[in-house]
Amino acid sequence: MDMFSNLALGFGVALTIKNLGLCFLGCMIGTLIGVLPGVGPIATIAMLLPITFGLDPVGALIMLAGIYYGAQYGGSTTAILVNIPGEATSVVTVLDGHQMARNGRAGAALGISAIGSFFAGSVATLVIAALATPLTRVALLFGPAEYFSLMVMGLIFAVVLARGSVVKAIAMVLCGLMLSTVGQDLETGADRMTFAWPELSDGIDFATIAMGMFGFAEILRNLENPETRDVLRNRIGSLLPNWSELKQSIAPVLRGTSIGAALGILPGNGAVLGPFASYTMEKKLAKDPSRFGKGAIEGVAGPESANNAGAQTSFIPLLTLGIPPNAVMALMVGAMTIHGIVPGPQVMEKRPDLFWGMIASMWIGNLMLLVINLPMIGIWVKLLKVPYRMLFPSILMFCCIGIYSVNNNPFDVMITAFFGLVGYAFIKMGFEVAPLLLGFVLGKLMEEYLRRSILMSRGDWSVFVDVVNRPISAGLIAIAVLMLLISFLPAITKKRDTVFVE
Amino acid sequence: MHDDNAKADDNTRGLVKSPQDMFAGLFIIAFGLACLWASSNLTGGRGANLGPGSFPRGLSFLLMAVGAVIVVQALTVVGPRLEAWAIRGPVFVLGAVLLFAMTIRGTTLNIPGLGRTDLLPPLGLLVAGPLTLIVASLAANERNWTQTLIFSACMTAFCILLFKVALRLPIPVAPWAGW
Repeated sequence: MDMFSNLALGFGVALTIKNLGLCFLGCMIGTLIGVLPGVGPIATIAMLLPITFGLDPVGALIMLAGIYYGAQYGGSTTAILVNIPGEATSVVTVLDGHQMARNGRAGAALGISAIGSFFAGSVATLVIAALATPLTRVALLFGPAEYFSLMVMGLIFAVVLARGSVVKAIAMVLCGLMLSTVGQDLETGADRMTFAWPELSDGIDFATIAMGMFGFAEILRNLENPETRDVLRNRIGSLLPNWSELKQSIAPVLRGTSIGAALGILPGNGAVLGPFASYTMEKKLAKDPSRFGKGAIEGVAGPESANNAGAQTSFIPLLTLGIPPNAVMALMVGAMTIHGIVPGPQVMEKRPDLFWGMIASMWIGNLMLLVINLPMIGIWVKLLKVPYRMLFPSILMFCCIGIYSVNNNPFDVMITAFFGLVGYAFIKMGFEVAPLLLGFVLGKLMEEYLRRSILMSRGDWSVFVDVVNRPISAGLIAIAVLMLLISFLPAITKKRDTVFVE
Repeated sequence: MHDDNAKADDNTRGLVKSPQDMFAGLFIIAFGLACLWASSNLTGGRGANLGPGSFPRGLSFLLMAVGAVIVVQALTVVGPRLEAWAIRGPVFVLGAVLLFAMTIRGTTLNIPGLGRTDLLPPLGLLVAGPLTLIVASLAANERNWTQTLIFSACMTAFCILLFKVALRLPIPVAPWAGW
């Protein structure tokens, strides 16, 4: 069994004292920041990126992955206790989780969400380990044309699954692609759109865009709408769900895990749909659907498992194909690049220790989350009471130091302030900025593959849809076009709105 | 996501049904045009050889096309109004960030004709930190000076301990004292 020897190698790497410590630290800090209302996983990772600079790549990635699911988990805690969803994926948890908390079952809600997440995370880790090798083989068959088409499909998926208008999301992707072309051209060395500023000839650093448009713009938006924080005053109660609650949760956890894991693999932001799909399914399957929205434990167990499973399996497109499926994974690409690793199928061949070590550490991280979170709930509750007027200057400070440290260059900090303003303007114009970040991260590769494909086809633009010679590429483009067309059908548009509004 | 009030005053709307989309579409078109202009000095390449200008130019045209679609939508589908911009938040938050950038290692202006002039000396995190935190705090609605000052001092100390002492990032703390 290839998979098990690989996993053994991974555990060998992940179980060293140093990497265990980093994994623990990552989970801790990730949860700590993720719990804070108004700070989602994207801002958390962007903010904490610099603390991994001094580490070796394996350690850094293990820690970042820990921060990622720590932040994800922290978001659920906030959703249950404060009624504020930290991110799109915990919107559903708010519905029944907070109601359970109001009914005095906050402990049980937190407990089942932790247990469900742990189970889902363990299954997802196995899924990643099982799919990684075959998918990497597929990826090695891909030529530039297939890669280009795959990226087009990934971006279209992300656009279709984004909130709000599809056309506006496409505009954001295009803006991101455009921003990625700034700087020296890879082939000819020509300065592009740098306006003769030497600072821009290396291109725009992705950290400046991420922190500006997510970190700063989010602060500006939060300052405008003073949140009403409804921190729970009831007792949290026992963290262990009782027997009947546990029995009710088993099936939803299993179903949520499979839905979440399957959707997370999709290129494009499939993981977002997991919790919604799981909630809808549980509500349909329930004997008494009217309990939903009033504190039904199935409404927490299912979506939370789906959320965590999807969060983990969304690493698959990144690790095997090198294509980030969502904004968080786009940040991981940036982080890997800073540490000198180009994500993609070659990582598994060249750095098996890093690849399998990271996968093994995901499971360990999930176990740690279970262990650290449950006893520390009291501390998280206290953290929730920190007023925003102290929170946002601290976030700002961390971001400033972080961006400065990427290149030790104050100019980057100024650029970030500029992108903060742009991000704020985008919010005012009703744009969702996540697709922009995705476009930006994929831009350079897309252009390279496009140019190579056209060169190899001797100027024939039909390579991408050549059914005879390049069936994979043509198939990917066909799926992309189909998805786009479907998203414009009136019936689907209506359904899409309700999914995100509900 | 249409507001209820947006639908309510449907009849009072003139040609533009969704001011927010109108603005968004025009912005995207303008951005596309600006990029087209900015990449006009780049060679486009011919046939099989795509030059450095091809991709940006192609994107510019796509942007303008998508912008036009948004404008058409704004003229046909009722949507939200343009929200008012806050002034205080952006000014103090982004101002604080700019101050950090200008003070951490100092600022040197390079004015053609006048040569290089030092605008601000390198002040390091010890000064840039509290400055950033205090200015940023002004963006909040409520103010408590004692609290802000104590908080800024503690937060700066924490950042120095975390980033300089523990993580050993090469960030200047007090360059005038050689640290």
